[in-house]
Amino acid sequence: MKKSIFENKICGKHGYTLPQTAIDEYTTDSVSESLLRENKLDLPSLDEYSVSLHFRSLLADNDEYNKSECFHGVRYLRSVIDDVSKLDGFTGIHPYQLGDAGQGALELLFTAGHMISDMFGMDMFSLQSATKMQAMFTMLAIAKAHRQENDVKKNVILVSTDACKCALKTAAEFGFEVRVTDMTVDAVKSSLDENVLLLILKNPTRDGKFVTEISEIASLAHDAGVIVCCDASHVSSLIGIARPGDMGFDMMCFDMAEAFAISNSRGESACVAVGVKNEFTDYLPVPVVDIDEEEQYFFNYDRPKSIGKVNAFYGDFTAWIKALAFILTTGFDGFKEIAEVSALNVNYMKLLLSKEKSFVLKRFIFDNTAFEPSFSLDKSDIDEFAANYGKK
Amino acid sequence: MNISISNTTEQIREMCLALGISSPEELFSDIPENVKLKEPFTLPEALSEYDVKKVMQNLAGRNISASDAVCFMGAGVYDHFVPALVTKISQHASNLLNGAIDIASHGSILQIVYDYQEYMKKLTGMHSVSASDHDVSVAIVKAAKFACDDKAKKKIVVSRAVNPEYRKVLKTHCAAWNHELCEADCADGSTSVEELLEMCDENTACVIVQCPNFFGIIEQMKLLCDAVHEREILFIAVVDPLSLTIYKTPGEYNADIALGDGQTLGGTLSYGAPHFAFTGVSKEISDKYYLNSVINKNGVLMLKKPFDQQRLLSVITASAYIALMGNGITDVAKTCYSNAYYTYEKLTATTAFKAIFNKPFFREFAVKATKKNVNDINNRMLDYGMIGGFALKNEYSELGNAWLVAVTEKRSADEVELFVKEASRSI
Repeated sequence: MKKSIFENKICGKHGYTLPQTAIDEYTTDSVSESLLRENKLDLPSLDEYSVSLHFRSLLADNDEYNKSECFHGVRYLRSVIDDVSKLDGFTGIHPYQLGDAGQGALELLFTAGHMISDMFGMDMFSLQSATKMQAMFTMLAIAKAHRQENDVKKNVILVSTDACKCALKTAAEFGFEVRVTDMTVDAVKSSLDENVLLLILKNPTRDGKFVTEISEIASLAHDAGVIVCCDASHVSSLIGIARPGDMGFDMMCFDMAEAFAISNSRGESACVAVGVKNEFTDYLPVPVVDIDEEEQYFFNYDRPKSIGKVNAFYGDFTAWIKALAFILTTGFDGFKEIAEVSALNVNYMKLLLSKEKSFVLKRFIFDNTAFEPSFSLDKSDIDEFAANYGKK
Repeated sequence: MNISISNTTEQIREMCLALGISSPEELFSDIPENVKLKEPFTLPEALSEYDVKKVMQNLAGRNISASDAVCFMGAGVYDHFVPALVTKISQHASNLLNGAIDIASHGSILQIVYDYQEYMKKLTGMHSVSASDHDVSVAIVKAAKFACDDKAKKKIVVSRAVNPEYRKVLKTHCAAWNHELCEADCADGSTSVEELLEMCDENTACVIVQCPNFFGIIEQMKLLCDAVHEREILFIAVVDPLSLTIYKTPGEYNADIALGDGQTLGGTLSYGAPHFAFTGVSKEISDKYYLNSVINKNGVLMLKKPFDQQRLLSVITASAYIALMGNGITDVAKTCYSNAYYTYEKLTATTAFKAIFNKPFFREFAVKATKKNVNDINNRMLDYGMIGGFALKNEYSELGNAWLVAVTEKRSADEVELFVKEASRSI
């Protein structure tokens, strides 16, 4: 026997949003009492996620919806976001067709780029990198180009202890020397010397902590002429709370699927955005989307300082469609709420599993496993998960 | 209220109570006040589902799509027909993957990927094949890096007839690695064998040639590959899966690494968004080259590193496309072939265009416009609901006013007639 929709919690949530009409003169308050319904309507009112889950569990044939994945970083992808990415006017455009024939696509890239610049406190974003490895490559290539232009000889990359393998591998390909350090003021101070070109650190860290001394570390590095980069792999827990740009980072990269709920599978997306401050915008990969005097968008290739291309064409256009749709449907308050509920879910889960009291952002490591409950999960999901944890 | 959040106010209160805090904001107490956001960043208020759909439809509506227009543009991305069933399977798979299934252990999905690998082995003739990367340019970079590391050499020779997008990406990487990148000329539309071999010295790790090349021309792959191998240099072939149903496969001419774009196998144009790139390797290097492919170990399918959703979907789509086509995939290639030649003959029969290269081609060819600038022609084509060819002078200035035209199996005779008529009209 399957669960009926009426067995779900009935809690006055809702899974829809009304069109914004701007017409508000007429309300039903003026309807005559005799015409009004007598018994209050009492239907289950669920959020979109629960409705999807319910129908999926009923409709799934052999492929059971695997909710346990949602405790490990998988988020719920809203149907409308998936839908709009499949519009003919997006899937059917050729990358080389004339700008006049692709103004919508260009505007989309331009707008999305500006919005995320503002969200993360950067001045410009490149949309080209498909993988974290390419994003690391882009940041290091920019640092190298910047170094060449300023005629300095620095050759050391300082990375945090939780740095990804791809950062180390990419640095090695460039022939940089890698130095590993803890991310505290004292440790950084002792690792800094005149050979350090770049500092890459994760904030939040691999185990979900905020690097509390980040401002001090960044200014220390800046004083030594070091470029400070953020591997913002877990940045979604900060959107609406704090911006990497305000913490002193010169460059940052983040996976679009991590920051925005635009894909439901595990593993990275095909788009890792690279953001930079003004000093470094000239070096970003070509092309970038610009707007001319006649307010026509165009791909600007005329950027002599650019590091070149890191990927064919313009990156994962589909990911940008979804990202823009997600940003537009979420808004600032929505992002803040997501960050808060994520933090609440993860800390509650951590309390139940590890009984440990310190606060984390978005994720924690327990039992050698990374736990990262989705913001769509609720308390009862987490209670159930914790109650069954460790049992077969 | 955020409609993707299912915690109720009551549940939020209970969790706060358990954590000993009065509001979720206290969870961010580790973040120093000086870096906390003081003012909201500027975003429009959250749009409703209907409104966001309108915004996105409006943006999409301002693009000319190949689903409405008739597309004669190729240059690496091709407007092939995608059967409804393929779209349906892809959609079904997309829904399934949206159910957050851990694909690395999902038998039925691994089976599809495994089958795709088998298909690609048959198409390319390579020893093992995987959906290695998002994008061919990146697959080429990886292959070149492998060759350099394997041979402990720092020089890469690439034909100038390889797609300029790929060469640009390679160039960016070579600059980063301090590797030498030499481009062999292609004056008559195909790679100059003499010049290429002249560049192959004792420092050369690999040679990269594309077939059909950027101009659609079929290169002398066997000849090139043999000559390169004589010098103990790795031969990397950039191939097109459709053309391989007709032309010699990289397995047959003994390429060490063969790679190409999966877009032609059921993929959409999508503004050049990556679908997936496949990489095939020969038996000799298969132990050394890291391919993240599905392996069958005692009847159990396994994948080392899970694919991301986008690439996995593209692979499933390609697998469905090939499954549906079967041997008929050859007919697709043959139709492209005949359509392209038909168009070529018609265009060069007018006084407005003349042939540039006299070489065998597949699906795509270059002509020179004698009367009008090809950008103007392309603009006019848009008025007639057609997406014209690629203006070659952007990448090959020596070719002057040349036009690269791709003709897929989708194009009808009527469309070609209209295309030729409007393209050659002098006004």
